[in-house]
Amino acid sequence: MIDETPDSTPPAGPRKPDAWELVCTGILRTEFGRRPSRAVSNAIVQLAAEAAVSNGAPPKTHTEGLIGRIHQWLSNLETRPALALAAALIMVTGVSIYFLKSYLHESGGSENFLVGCKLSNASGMRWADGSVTLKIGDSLPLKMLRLESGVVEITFNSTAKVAIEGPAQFQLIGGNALELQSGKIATDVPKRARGFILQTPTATVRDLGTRFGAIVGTDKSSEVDVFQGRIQLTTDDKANAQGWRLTAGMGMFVDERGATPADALPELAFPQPEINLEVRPQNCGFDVSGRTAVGEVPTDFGYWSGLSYSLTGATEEVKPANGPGMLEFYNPAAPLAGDSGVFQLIDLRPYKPLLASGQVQATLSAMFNRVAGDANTAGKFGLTLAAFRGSPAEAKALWAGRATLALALADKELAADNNPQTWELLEAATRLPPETDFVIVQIRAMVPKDNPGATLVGHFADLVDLRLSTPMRASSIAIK
Amino acid sequence: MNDKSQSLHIFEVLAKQHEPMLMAYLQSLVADHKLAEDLAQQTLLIAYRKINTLKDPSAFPAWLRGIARLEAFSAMRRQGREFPVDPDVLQQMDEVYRQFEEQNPADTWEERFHLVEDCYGHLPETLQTVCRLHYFEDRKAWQIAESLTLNLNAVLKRLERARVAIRDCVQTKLAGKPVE
Repeated sequence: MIDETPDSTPPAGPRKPDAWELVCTGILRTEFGRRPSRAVSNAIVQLAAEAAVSNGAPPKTHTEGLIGRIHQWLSNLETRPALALAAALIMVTGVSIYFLKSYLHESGGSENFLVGCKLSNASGMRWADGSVTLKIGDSLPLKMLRLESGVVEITFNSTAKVAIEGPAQFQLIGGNALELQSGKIATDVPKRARGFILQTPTATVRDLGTRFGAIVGTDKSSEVDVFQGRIQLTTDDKANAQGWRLTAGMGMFVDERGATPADALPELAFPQPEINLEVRPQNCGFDVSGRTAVGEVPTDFGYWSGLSYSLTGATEEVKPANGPGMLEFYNPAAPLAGDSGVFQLIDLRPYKPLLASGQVQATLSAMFNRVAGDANTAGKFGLTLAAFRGSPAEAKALWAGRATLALALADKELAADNNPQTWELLEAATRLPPETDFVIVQIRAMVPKDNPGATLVGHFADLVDLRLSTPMRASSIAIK
Repeated sequence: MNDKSQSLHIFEVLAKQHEPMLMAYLQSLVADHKLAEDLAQQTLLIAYRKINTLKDPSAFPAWLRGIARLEAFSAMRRQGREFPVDPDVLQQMDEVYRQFEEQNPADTWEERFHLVEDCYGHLPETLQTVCRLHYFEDRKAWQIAESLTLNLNAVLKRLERARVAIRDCVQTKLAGKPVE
């Protein structure tokens, strides 16, 4: 129960906080672990710089020692009490994964490079004389870089990506941090890379799992805009040490006089790194007994609907491609006999800022399989992705007129093999226009035109997936 | 990636995971964000150089706190200041952190700290205000007294009540009991 007594009684002499109070106040002072700190990035920069000049110092033995112990410790895991070691397991697993990734993806290196941040893409890249010579795939050196023109994409080991458009000056200040002295930048920071830091001359931006952009002018002023998710922005303003939390659509202009809220500029005003998003249909693996409907095209988002199908587990001949469930097609009853289609509507309105570029490619994929058949067995599957503007209530009519009403349409068919042991992948892709509100996804098992009575029993689908991706691009709106 | 880059990268991942804990621990000891940041940086440099002496990777958080404690102690001594925390309290603080770790072993430190945030959320508005000004915005008690037109004792009293309330709430939650 919280003490609500008045404040009039002065403290009965100074009482030193106990251990619990000290720990809790320490946590309060870090704003529950969210207050930006440069301790790690500063330490790493210092260590990297030392490594760069020492040329042969002993970190190798450090690595061998730590990793060796980590693996030895992991191999002993089963013999130790699991609970007591669980906390460390998280840490060690993460480190081991990173370690393995580093080995898999890196090829050689130079001592001037910082923790494997790479130039992952570039377009029209031109560096200032003497600044640097880089090609795609190279690690980035630990120094101020001057990009005269073009766009470069940098991928951090944390998986954060940034696109920087020249003219720009920037340098890495950690494995998940970058300092931008001038130029335009946009970030894509997945959840696992949360905590990415962008330092500008007037502001520090800490990403909380999001996409945002920044423009740093030659006068050192910074404009920071959030496209998706949220960020924490701090300045040198002592009166507001905790800074501001900005969410999607919010912006802040910061110069030497302080910070001023601003309307976020459109994403087209910023360069953009390659972005890949998975927008999976609900119950995409048919592994849970969620909402399903019998009928034609659904009138709302988030459930499967079809004339004749069921969600099932493994059968004698066919095991699901993944997880415990899959979808089995049946022949629709007359008068709708023919192909058996199953539909889902997927809402893309949350992705409007991304769609605005007109560069978003949607790729629909699904796995199909069937039992071994004879001449009377159907053998084809199909996949359709259709993008529409409007509301889900109109979906049935829009689908019926998709040949003319769809903003984008992709359709693929597959003549399945006769082997129930193998699942076959089918993909259909199309570019989505900015007006897209939703897509209709259809998976289907098809009967031959000359044999509409062919059975569809034993025809399965699994793992339906929709992926949105945009290539790296330069900004397309000039900002004065 | 060469060996140096590898070891730095691995260490950076480790350090990032434990940075919130390290900063919170140092803030408990020195109550100064900038100093805590400098000490944390120094702690990490030492930790990297002495990583060979760490026998058990699961002890990394406690090992880091041990280095941080010595660094904080040295910094205070250099400044001619008395170290503000008794040795037995320091030991108990380690026990408290151990309880945080064991309560939610799969969580990050930020997630573990939600417990304290929840308890802070339970405080009455008056106590939250002084906590915010003092702990988040680094204002001195007398500055808070001036801005809220309270006397200094009232501010100190509120801070103490807030600390005690959060402590009791956190202890209750860690023990798995509902907070009244």
